[in-house]
Amino acid sequence: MQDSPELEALFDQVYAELHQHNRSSEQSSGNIHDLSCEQNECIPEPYYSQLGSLLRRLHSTLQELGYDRSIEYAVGDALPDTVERLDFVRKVTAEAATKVLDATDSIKPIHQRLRAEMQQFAQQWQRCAQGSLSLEEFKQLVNDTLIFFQNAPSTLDLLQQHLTQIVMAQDFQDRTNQVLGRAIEITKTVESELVKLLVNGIPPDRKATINNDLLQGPVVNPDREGDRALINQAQVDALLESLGF
Amino acid sequence: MPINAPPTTTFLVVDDSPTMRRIVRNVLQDNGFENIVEADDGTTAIEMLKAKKVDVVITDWNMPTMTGLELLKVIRSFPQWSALPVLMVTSEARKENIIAAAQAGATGYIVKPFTPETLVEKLNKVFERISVTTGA
Repeated sequence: MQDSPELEALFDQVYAELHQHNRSSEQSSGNIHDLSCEQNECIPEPYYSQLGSLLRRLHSTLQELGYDRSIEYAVGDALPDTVERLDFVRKVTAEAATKVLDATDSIKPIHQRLRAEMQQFAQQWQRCAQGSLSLEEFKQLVNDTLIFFQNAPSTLDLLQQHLTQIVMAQDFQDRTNQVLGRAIEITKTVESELVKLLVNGIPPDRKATINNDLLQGPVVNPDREGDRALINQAQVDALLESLGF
Repeated sequence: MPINAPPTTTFLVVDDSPTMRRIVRNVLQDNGFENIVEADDGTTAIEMLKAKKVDVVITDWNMPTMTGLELLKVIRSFPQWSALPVLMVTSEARKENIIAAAQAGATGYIVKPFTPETLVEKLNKVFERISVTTGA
């Protein structure tokens, strides 16, 4: 959803109501903060405990459902989500590149024209300094120089606009950063789940040949699992290698 | 269209993205403002506000550890900053975001990605609202 006059009007309305309210209750200072705090404090402790145990049950149930759900998640949601995110990055970076190249394409002819005109003026004024210009040529040179300087600010403003366009195009970095971060997170989770699946399905005859430390599967939070978790790419590599992949 | 504020106005730009801070600084400098300080998170922003006189805060919404909305609430909890203009930068124009920002005491909002013209326009709206509210 893009910004719109309706949203601006909505902001205005809430802003006006809030300030109207503040004016009418001058006694209660810092009421905005107090309100939000009160809202947070309204949630009673038993509610948190109930929510916590509910979450624990949900987590356990999901684990009991088995790893086939992981595949379903990986194939059904995580990978398409990652693809969508990467596609967004591809689109945004392409747009940024186009904006920058368009701006430099616009700057180049202006730069070339300014350079040529300045070079010409330098030659003319050199001839003037040497006394080689006729009175008519001198008058023409003064007139041309005046026009050049009168036009210079608008030409430089145009250059400035294109430079700003280049600066603004760099916002792609901010827009893609979070998306890429999420895509990396999803990819790591999928890898982790797939390795767990692999470990779970190792045939008994192969199991004996594998380093026992590698059989625990990677986890998202290695601290909680201690030394038994596969925590880095080297260990995942070692496991895959030991399984003959 | 110029920004309707004295050239000595001090801006505090809060964003965890150095690129975005540079972009906002660039637009402000293009408009003749040189007094610009930057913070990469909410905690640093509060320290800066305590250490230096700031006239306007421009803060991103999505930041780790302390969001822009949380920063805004902290700012408003200090009586001396109750009227400090704060422009919130949101990544999407969702109604609930706009309402939450206004209710928490934001003076204006801007949606990313924005153009330099929109930033100028939104800042002018902030200065308009402040002059109406304070009667300045």
